[in-house]
Amino acid sequence: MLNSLQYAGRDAAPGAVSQGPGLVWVRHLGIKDLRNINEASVELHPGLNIFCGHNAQGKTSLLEAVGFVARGRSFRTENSRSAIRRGAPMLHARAEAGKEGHFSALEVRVQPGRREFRVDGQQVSPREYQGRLEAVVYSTDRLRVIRGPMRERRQFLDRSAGALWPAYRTDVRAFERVLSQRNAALQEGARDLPVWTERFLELGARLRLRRAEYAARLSAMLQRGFAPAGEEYEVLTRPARVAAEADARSQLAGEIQSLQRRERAVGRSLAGPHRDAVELLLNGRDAALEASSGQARSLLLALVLANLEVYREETGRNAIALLDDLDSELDQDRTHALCQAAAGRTQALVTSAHPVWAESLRSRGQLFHVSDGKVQRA
Amino acid sequence: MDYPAPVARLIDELRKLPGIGPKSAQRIAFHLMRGSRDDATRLSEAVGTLLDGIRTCAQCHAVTDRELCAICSDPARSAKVLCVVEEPHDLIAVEKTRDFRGRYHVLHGALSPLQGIGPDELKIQGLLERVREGETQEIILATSPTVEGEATAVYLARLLKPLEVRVTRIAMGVPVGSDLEWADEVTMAKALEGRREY
Repeated sequence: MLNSLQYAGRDAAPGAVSQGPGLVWVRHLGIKDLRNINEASVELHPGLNIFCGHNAQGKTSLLEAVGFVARGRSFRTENSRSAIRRGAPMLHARAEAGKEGHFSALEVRVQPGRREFRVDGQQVSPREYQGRLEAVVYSTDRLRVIRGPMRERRQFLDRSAGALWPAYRTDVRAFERVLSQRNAALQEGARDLPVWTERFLELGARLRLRRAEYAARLSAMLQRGFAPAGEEYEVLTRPARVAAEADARSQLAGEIQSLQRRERAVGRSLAGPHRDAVELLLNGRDAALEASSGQARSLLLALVLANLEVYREETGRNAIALLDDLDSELDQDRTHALCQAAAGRTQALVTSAHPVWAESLRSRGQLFHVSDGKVQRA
Repeated sequence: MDYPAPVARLIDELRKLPGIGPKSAQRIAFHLMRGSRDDATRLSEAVGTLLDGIRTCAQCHAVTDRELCAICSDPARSAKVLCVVEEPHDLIAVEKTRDFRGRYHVLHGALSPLQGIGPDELKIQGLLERVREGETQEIILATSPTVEGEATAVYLARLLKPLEVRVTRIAMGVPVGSDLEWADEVTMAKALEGRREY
């Protein structure tokens, strides 16, 4: 396998070096009025890009800009307008992205209540725009996926799979809608409850099955992927995966049947994909309870990278890795293992507040200093 | 500065309309203020008389200005096939095909416990009575492919099947006359799911 993170010398012009064959990467990133960044123009390295600087200087905003270009929204906040620089009418994020020999300019403009997408200067509809660039995100506030309540892990699976399969996303939305309708019907003791239960069973069984299938694929990737210190990772969904939709349906029907009385009493659906367990195992034990700080970070990274691999297997394309605050809690060995795992598979944008740590990665890609919303190659 | 009371009142009323936000309401209000008195009178008369002459058909509950709507009173339209839709405008959509020669039944909504809409809020009793009269051979469930429309279709199917009438559901799939590549993934997935022998 090509190891792009190694063959780029520190003086090589970024962009002049080719990435592994057929890899999608961002050659140039342009930003205007995003948080504290007035204007920035950055030539990126096809492999590893390390952004180093003190806190609140704009490092994460650079990653956020790539997120904006990829998905049209921020990965830091639900409210995209809060990312517009104070006093500015709109924010602008633009990336020259693509494969070697075929780059296009992807551009997103966000103003309050409005979003515009452009490809090579031409405005296009969101549907036409989506899928041109995909990014996976690691940031320490996502550690709640590992340690937070079960809901976080369910959401992680549903969102990652939803980004890959539009039908998955539709199934999740339809299930959530049926769930609220059924809950309302339970509360009122409505006459049409049986119909809502039937719809609930159908959509619930389908979502369970899809989620379990996705978890199994992630698990398979985790076993082959990034695993520092000989750790073993696994994703488990409970109840255990069944083979067919009909089986999943009768299983769920059985659970609902046994909870009938309690459900009516509390006016809520007490079993189903919205309450199922998603467990992350570290060496066979529940990571939510047992993982150390460094282990939790490694597991989250492993999940992000596994996600990236499933995406690649499914679409034949790689997603850009946005690794925020990849700080010193990852020791040298883990960092080294991570770079090995990412090398040649995708472009990575990494931020760190620790100069020594960042410096140790310099030989593997391009180091940038970020200060007061300005970016400089180091 | 606040708007003078008559303007503010108009804006408030306009804002209650579907699809009209505060800005659109303002724009419409100022458009009317700038226009001629005749235009304004015609509009207010049209709105004022709207509900006077309008009623729902005694049989199918479509919007009409008579006891029985034009379709229900047309002897050329077959009573053997009934197409069940949620709203009066859905009827217009089916009617535009000019291919359907049966009659309709408008439910005036879909089941939605969240909004307090249960079977009693919909025109379901009338539908059952029409079927019990015996002339109907097929019911086409043409409720929307939404969560609520789907649940309503399931509910109706359960009620109707014991009455020994054929119950069908409209198909969901790719739009006709365009290339497959333009179909969105979800519709495409539905179309695959609903494929048939050929």
